[in-house]
Amino acid sequence: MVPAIGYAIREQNRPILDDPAINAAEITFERADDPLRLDRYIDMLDFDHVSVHALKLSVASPDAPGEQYMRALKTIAEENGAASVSDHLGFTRDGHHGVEMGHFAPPPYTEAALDATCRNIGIIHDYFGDMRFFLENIAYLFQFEGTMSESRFLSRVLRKTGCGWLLDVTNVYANARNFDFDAAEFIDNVMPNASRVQIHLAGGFYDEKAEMYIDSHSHSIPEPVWDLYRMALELGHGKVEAVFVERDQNFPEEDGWRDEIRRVRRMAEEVGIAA
Amino acid sequence: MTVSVSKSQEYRDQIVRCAQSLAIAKIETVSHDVDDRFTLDQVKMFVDGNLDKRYQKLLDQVELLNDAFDDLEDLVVDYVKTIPLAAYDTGCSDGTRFLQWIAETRRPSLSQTDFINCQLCRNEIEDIARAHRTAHVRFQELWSTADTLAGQLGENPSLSIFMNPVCIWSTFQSQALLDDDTPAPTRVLFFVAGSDIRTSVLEVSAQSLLSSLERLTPCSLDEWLADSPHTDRDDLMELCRDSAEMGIIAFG
Repeated sequence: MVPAIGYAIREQNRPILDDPAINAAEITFERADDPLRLDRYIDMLDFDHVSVHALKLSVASPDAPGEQYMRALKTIAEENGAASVSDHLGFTRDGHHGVEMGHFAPPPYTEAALDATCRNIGIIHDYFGDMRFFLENIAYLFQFEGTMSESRFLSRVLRKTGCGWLLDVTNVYANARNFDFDAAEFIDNVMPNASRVQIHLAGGFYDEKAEMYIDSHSHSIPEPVWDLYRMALELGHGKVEAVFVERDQNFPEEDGWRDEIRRVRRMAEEVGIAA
Repeated sequence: MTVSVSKSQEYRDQIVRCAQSLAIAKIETVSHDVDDRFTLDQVKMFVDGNLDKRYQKLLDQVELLNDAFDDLEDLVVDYVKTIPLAAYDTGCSDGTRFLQWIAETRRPSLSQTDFINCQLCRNEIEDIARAHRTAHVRFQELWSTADTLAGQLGENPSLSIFMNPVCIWSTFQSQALLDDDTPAPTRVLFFVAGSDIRTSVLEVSAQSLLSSLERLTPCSLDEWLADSPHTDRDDLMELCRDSAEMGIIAFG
């Protein structure tokens, strides 16, 4: 099975979304949630797989995701014929009437966080019904003190809830490089626990001052990430449903967009044939 | 494994403390929560990145105020440092709270108040469109044929007139946002045309007629006329055509 392949939609890549290598699209909810917009976000385009990517379900918060936010998310998903929704393993806020940090932080990897996260994912599953939910591993700058590793926490969430894994390969690469662990081992450990998988690919840069690799979605996909991608396709053969490339800055010319997505497809087809 | 109520409460307390502290860059508060392998500098990097993104987004949202406040960037910095982003911030909600914060904590002049008010109205228009998306999309579909249907006005008794559901009235108190021929204070109508937010200053008689249409919509020309006894039919038809051209009303 070759996964559906496409870009996270940005205005800059819209002109090439009809490329033959593309048969999927990811909609970032916060970009699509324009109240004055009249047409559907994917416009007249037709894809085999559309997914809506959210930023504020805050699955590790002690409170359940807000109904109003989920309703808005579902409206965009339905308007665009999405088969799945996704968000990150982290928390962005304290509670319903509280504050937002602006970006997701990893939860403390504890039993209590696991309990809250699984309960919230259960609520998301109930709300979205047939739309499948995928949970993304995040790139982090720090972690809170916990009682288990990230890979164990994520594996347990996947097993307990049955939700899909949105494997952000670049996030794994960034964390492994910044905090000195084996990215391949991380993917190898988690993959058996996921019943279905989506993949994110992107490129960042090494910040000399901070001495960290920053997953800024601003560069081409680096070679080590391509290697990890191939490995993930092999390990997840038969359950990788879609692959999305993210780019938010330093946008390439038309050829750059096309070349990168064609390489994504080529590699998926090679792995599919080999299997 | 079941987590005890006390552990759940401890977790809630921890997340509340961490989120509230990191939202306004009080990094020391979380020092005991952070894993020993990481430094507070790394936490600071996380917080600074978030605040910077919020600052940039806010500046974009209130760009209009650059013409009214010389110290807009400083105001945004003060606001971001003291008022945390609200949970479920969507669209322009942080911008709206910033504008309310300026109005409450500074003493804006009349012209500055008009700029604040103008941006607040634009934000409110977006909120109305979000809350009434189906009505917004339906009206804009009708408006796309308004040019053609305007020709049937006065001849086709079954032609319905629709008021734009995404509109609000406000008052400008100064000349800051008005042309020289329009004396302040004056009422202004904010509305959506296509996917643009427009404003219009209308004559007092037209304001009154459109307010009555807001109550009646949808209605026929004759129903609208019956509700406006001192109005000439031709004048009402002219208002209809002008308003349809702007995007305030549509036909169906």
